[in-house]
Amino acid sequence: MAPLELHEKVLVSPDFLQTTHGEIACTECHGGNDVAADMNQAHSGIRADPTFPDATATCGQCHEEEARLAKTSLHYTLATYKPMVHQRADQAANQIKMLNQGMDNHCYGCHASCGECHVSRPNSAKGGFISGHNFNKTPDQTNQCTACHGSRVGNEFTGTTGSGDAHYTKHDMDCMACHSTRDLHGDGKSDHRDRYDVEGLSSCQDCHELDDKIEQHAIHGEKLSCYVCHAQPYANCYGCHVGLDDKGLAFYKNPDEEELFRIGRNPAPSPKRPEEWILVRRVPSVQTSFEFYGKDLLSNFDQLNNWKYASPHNIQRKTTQNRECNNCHGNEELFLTEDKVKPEMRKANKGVIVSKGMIPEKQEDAEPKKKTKKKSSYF
Amino acid sequence: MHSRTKISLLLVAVLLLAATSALASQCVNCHTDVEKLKAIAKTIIKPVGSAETAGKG
Ligand code: HEC
Ligand code: HEC
Ligand code: HEC
Ligand code: HEC
Ligand code: HEC
Ligand code: HEC
Ligand code: HEC
Ligand code: HEC
Repeated sequence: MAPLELHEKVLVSPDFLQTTHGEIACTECHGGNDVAADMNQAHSGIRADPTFPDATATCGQCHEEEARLAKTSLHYTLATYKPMVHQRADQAANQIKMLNQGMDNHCYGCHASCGECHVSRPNSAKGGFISGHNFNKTPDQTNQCTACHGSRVGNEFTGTTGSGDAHYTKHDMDCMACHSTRDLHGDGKSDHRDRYDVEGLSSCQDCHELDDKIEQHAIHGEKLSCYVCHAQPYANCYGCHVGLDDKGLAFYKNPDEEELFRIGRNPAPSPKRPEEWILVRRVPSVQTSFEFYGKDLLSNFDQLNNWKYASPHNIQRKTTQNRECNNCHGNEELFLTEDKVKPEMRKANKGVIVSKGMIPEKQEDAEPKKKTKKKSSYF
Repeated sequence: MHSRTKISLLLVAVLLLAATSALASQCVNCHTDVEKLKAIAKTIIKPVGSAETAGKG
């Protein structure tokens, strides 16, 4: 994503003024003073983003449902962050307070408002109009979605790491082919466990039925998640640390990243995700992530597993592991065995760790079948 | 109506329209004027991120 010059970020295109939204006075949405010629006077009291934290006043009179549901969208609330991190925290009130200070400084800038999906680049990526203030129906994958979901989803999807996702590279599908208003506009729930807990989140089965003519599909049925066979190695980060530098500016450090592929056990099969075998990813946070804000803030780090359900956006029909049965069967390297988990975290990851006895055995008679191609008649 | 009156009425209307859309909003004036925005941009110190940030987000 090429950086924008400061003036480009705020240059309103004349054609915007002819649209439904552009005909509304600037001040209706942004406040400020539209008769003042001096910038500072004109800007006094403006709301740079009139759609955050609440879009009801600005958009709600015409888009009532969108404005109401936004309050239940994780893009607005980031509601899973604190409950999740707090489970790993020292529960003493002053410790929680210091931890919250750290989280408030570093985590809550990454929200997406109506404007950040329909009008401009997200503020966390330094803002700026996508198309001269026009309100676009369809968000822009590069300037909006992967401006935030870039280092993992974006890189894997477009092939910056690995060979990309066939949906994108071969079939020209972008984020919006699978993600729509159904998941992105909020689902009306207020108790999301995590981001996979969103009703209407995309699913492979929305579009594909398991085709049993394919031998591997027929044998394994729904015991394995699609990703186990169709994804490529994906980003695993660890060692994420946050703090403030000597100028008081927020920084983060996330120096350790590895492309890994790890098959684990599904610790909590559910009707939506019934499979027994899933991919797991190591999460970036560690016990010392918030150390800048206080000692031992995450003293209960091992209350939760740090290898978690993963859904890499790098789907391919043929992958290294599904090319031949024994690329997977008997291939211990692919599985999250105990030795690949730090000793102090083994207990917390018990539910996802694969014991050696569980790894499917080598298939003796599974040499690649020599296809005896029937000679087809040309006539 | 004489055609001359018609024309002057039209003129008044056009002038009024121009006046309301141009004068009533200094916001529009400035935010559609590239040169002016460029000039102002030069005077604004760009916010910088911390130089200590390292690794991927
Ligand atoms: C219908 C409501 C609405 C109207 C009318 C409107 N805007 Fe906006 N404006 C927005 C939204 C929403 C954003 C995106 C905010 C974001 O994503 O942070 C925005 C963003 C901006 C930004 C960029 C802010 C930034 O820091 O990135 C500028 C500048 C701006 N508008 C100027 C104007 C001007 C000038 C007018 C009148 C010609 C106008 N707006 C009319 C809703 C409106
Ligand atoms: C005065 C009523 C009104 C307000 C206020 C309003 N909209 Fe709209 N919006 C419309 C109408 C009417 C359409 C249908 C398409 C069109 O006319 O552009 C629309 C369409 C849209 C679209 C789809 C664009 C398209 O081309 O179909 C988006 C996205 C949108 N609005 C976002 C917003 C956001 C965000 C806000 C608040 C900042 C907002 N609107 C405020 C009336 C409004
Ligand atoms: C995380 C990104 C995201 C956010 C935040 C978001 N939208 Fe959307 N919006 C979408 C997508 C994706 C579509 C569907 C685009 C398509 O079908 O081409 C859409 C479509 C729309 C449409 C077109 C009508 C429709 O239902 O298809 C309107 C109007 C709209 N959004 C308004 C809003 C308003 C108002 C807000 C804030 C309350 C908002 N959006 C917040 C991603 C977002
Ligand atoms: C400002 C940064 C930002 C932008 C822009 C953004 N996202 Fe997100 N997105 C997030 C964050 C942060 C979460 C996680 C919230 C959580 O876990 O509580 C998230 C969650 C999601 C989720 C899972 C949860 C859900 O609500 O469905 C999907 C899918 C998603 N984003 C897709 C998209 C797509 C597609 C776009 C572009 C239309 C987009 N995002 C734009 C930051 C962003
Ligand atoms: C071919 C369909 C498809 C496309 C295209 C797609 N996604 Fe997804 N995405 C999914 C599915 C399916 C899930 C949920 C997986 C699950 O529940 O196991 C998901 C989950 C997510 C999540 C939540 C999990 C996570 O990894 O954080 C985010 C964020 C997300 N997608 C963002 C994006 C973005 C951004 C794009 C475009 C760059 C995109 N997706 C393109 C199908 C797709
Ligand atoms: C929104 C619909 C949609 C979703 C969701 C979706 N796909 Fe697809 N997928 C398609 C379409 C369309 C094609 C291309 C035509 C075809 O092969 O049917 C395709 C193609 C594929 C292919 C063949 C790729 C190639 O090389 O041509 C695989 C493998 C695949 N999908 C797996 C998945 C998996 C795994 C998921 C879940 C992570 C998923 N799909 C989610 C629509 C979808
Ligand atoms: C045990 C491994 C395995 C699992 C699990 C698996 N697949 Fe496949 N899949 C394959 C293999 C092998 C092929 C054929 C590759 C080739 O063309 O040689 C294939 C082919 C496909 C194709 C392209 C051919 C077609 O049928 O159109 C799609 C789409 C697909 N799989 C989707 C899925 C989805 C969706 C899931 C999860 C519900 C899934 N697969 C689970 C191994 C698997
Ligand atoms: C990407 C990994 C993967 C690939 C590729 C794969 N399998 Fe499996 N297979 C598994 C896993 C994991 C199980 C264990 C399922 C369970 O819990 O019962 C399994 C189970 C089986 C079983 C049931 C008996 C057992 O050992 O538990 C048979 C038979 C089998 N696979 C045959 C095959 C054949 C034949 C192929 C190639 C055509 C193949 N598999 C390809 C992962 C794979």
